[in-house]
Amino acid sequence: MKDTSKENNYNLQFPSDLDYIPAMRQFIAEVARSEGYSTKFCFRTEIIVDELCTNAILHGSKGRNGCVILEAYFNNDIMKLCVKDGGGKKVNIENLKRAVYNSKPTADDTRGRGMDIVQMLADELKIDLDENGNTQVNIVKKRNMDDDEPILKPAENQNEGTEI
Amino acid sequence: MKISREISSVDEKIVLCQLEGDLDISGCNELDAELSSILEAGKFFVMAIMEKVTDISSPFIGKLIECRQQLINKGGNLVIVGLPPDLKKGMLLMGIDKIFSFYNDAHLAYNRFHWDYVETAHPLKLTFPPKLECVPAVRLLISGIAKQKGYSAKDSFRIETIADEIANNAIEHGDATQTEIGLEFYIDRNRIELSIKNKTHLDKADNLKYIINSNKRSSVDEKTFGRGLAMVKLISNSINVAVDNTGTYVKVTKTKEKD
Repeated sequence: MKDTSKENNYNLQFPSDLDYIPAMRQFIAEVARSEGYSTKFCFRTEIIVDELCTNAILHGSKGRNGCVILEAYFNNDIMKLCVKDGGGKKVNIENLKRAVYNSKPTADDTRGRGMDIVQMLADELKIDLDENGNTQVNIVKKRNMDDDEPILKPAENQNEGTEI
Repeated sequence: MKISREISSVDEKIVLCQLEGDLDISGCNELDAELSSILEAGKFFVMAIMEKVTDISSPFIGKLIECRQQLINKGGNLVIVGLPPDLKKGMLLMGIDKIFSFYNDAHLAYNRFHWDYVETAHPLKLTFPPKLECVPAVRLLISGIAKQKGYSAKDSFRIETIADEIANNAIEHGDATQTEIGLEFYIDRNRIELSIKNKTHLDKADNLKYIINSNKRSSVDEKTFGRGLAMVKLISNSINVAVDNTGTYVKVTKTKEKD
C-alpha cells in the first residue's frame, strides 16, 4: 500500500454544468486511489460525487456564471468531501434536508433517490450554509479495512521449478 | 392548449415559449402565429418550456420540427425544456432526440446556448498537494473535460500530455516548502488555456525561461532532463512563463484542431 501518512487537501471550482460531472467523479476516485484507498471505496466515492454534484447543479448554482465548489480531504483513515453551491436559500436547504431525512420516493417516482444513496454509502452526512451563504453538503467516509484488496502472495512452490 | 411567450431575463436573445395542456393539431396555427411574431422581433433562439404539457400529438411535433427548421435557417435554434418524463419517453422512442435537444430545466439549456453560440470560456480552478501521485488524476481530469466538451481524442491526448508535463515540473522543480499547486483551466469551443502556479527558487525560474525561450535543454540536467517543455512547446500553440515574488506561473494555450 502507498504511504498515505500525510493529510492532503484538494479544492476544485467548476462551472455549474452537467458536462463536468464525469470528469469530477473520475478525478476524486483517482485521487482516492492515489491516497491508497480500495477499488470499492473509490467506486462508492464516485457515486457520492456524482450525486452531490448533480444536485448542486440542478438545484443550486443556476446563474449564468454559477459554479460548484468541491473540496476533498484525505488522511490515512477518512475521506471528507464538501460540495458547495450558490443555491443558499432557506427553501433550498429545507428541500434538501427533506430529501435526506424525510421523504421516501415511491416505486413509481423516477427521481429523488440520490441523497438516499449518498446517505447509505457515506458514514456521515451534514447539510448547512457556509459563511458566504452557499449551501454545503459535507460527507465523511471512513476507510473500511475489510474493503482493502488482499495483497496477492505467490502460491506455495509456485515459483519453483518442476522437479525432473 | 395555451401558448405564452416572454423574453428571457437571463439573455435577451432567447425567447421563452411556455406551452400548456394538450398539444394537438388545433394548436398548430397558434404556434405558427407565435413563431412569426418571434421572427419579426428578430429573435432566433427559442426555448419551448413544456413542464405543463399533458399530451403531444404527432401533427404538433411535425409543426415544432418545421418551426425549428425556420429558426435554424436564420442561425438560431429551438430546444425543448422540462418535458414530463412519460411524454419524453414517447418522443425518445420516436427518435425525436435526433432532431431536438431536450433539457430538464432552463438552466441546463442556457448552459448549452452559451457554450454553442456565445462562446464564453468556462473556468475551472484546482489546488492539489505537491505530490507526483496526484498528477495522473489531474491529467485525467483535464483530458476528460476536453473530451466531454467535444475535443477530439487527439486534442484531448495532447492536452493531457501538456497537463502531465507542466504539473510534474511544478512539483519536481518547485520549492520543497510549497504546500499546494494551483491550476487554472479555461475551455471554450475552440481553445484551451492551462495555467499552473507554484513556488520556485528564482534561479530555477531563470533556467525554465532559458529552456522555453532558447529551445535548448537545461544546462544543469542536460543528459537526463529537459525534453518535457520542448514537447509541450511542440504540441501547444503558445507557452508563457512569468515569475514574481509569489511564484512561477506557466501558461499554455492549445487551440482545437480541425477534424
